[in-house]
Amino acid sequence: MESGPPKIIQVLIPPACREEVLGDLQEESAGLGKFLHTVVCVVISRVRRTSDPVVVLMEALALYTAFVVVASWIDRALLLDPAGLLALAAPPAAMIVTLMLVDAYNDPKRVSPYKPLAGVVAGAALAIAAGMPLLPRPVLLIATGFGALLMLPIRLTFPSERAQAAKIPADWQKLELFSLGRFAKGITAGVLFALLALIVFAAYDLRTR
Amino acid sequence: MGSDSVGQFEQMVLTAILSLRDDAYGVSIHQKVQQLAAPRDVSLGAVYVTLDRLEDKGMVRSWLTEPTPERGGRAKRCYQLEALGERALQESAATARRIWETVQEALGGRRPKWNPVRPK
Repeated sequence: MESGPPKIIQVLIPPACREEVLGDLQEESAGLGKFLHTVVCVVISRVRRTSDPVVVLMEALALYTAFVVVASWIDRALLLDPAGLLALAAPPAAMIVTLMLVDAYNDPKRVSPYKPLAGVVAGAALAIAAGMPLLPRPVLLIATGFGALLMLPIRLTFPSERAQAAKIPADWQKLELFSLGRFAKGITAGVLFALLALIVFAAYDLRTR
Repeated sequence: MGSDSVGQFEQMVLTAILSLRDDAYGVSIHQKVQQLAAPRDVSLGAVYVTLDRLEDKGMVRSWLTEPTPERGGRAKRCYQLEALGERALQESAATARRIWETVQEALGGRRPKWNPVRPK
């Protein structure tokens, strides 16, 4: 019978290094504890390789600014309370951690122009989940949408592959930005514009009510 | 500390890659580093983290080999020292040598009691 790492371990290893790490674990045939420790180390190393600290800081600042601006617009009381300011930081933190993990689990061999969008959507979902018990729903939803819109240009300009150039050919970095066709670009721009208009309209509607 | 200087664990990983030559991959490097670090226990995960960091620093390069049946049909990622890695290792060895000579000199030529255990 072939003994190797359990299925869950195979799934937890980031695709970019799954092949060699699974082969090594198969050879080493250690216990579940050692397998898990190896997975944690591999994921941390992958996060370090795929995340540029400057870009992460830029994303965090943009997200927090979005939440503060929306709170000052809709529920100013949140800004006058230290607990409120802390609560405003929870969804951006959840979104940043999600984006870092999405980048770490990103397969560099698979090229798709929608990758940055998928990361932002997953991040926004987790941000809403994290902020649900802490923030009023209108602030949370509008700020998350606003933050997600701010994330897209940042992630399109600074794709995560740029931070891990050592392990992949340089042309991957360019494909991410330029493989989007003219039609897809038009559709994406239209959707983004519609979303932005919807958020502005919703915020205006809430304010005038 | 500059990016081309290496820590003790990195030195051990570079030494393992150098000594293993064409057979330097995750498991073999882990085994060699465990010999070098004995009696301290070294995890495979720590070796991966260090290999990634050394590759980012441009001290080693890696490539995937053909899949083999004993690894469940999976490929190995082999490692080789780059010129920068060799130079960093040589500098580390020279520093260790100078430290050793200074210690011997300070002890008046007698053999220090804490003579490190050589790996088998």
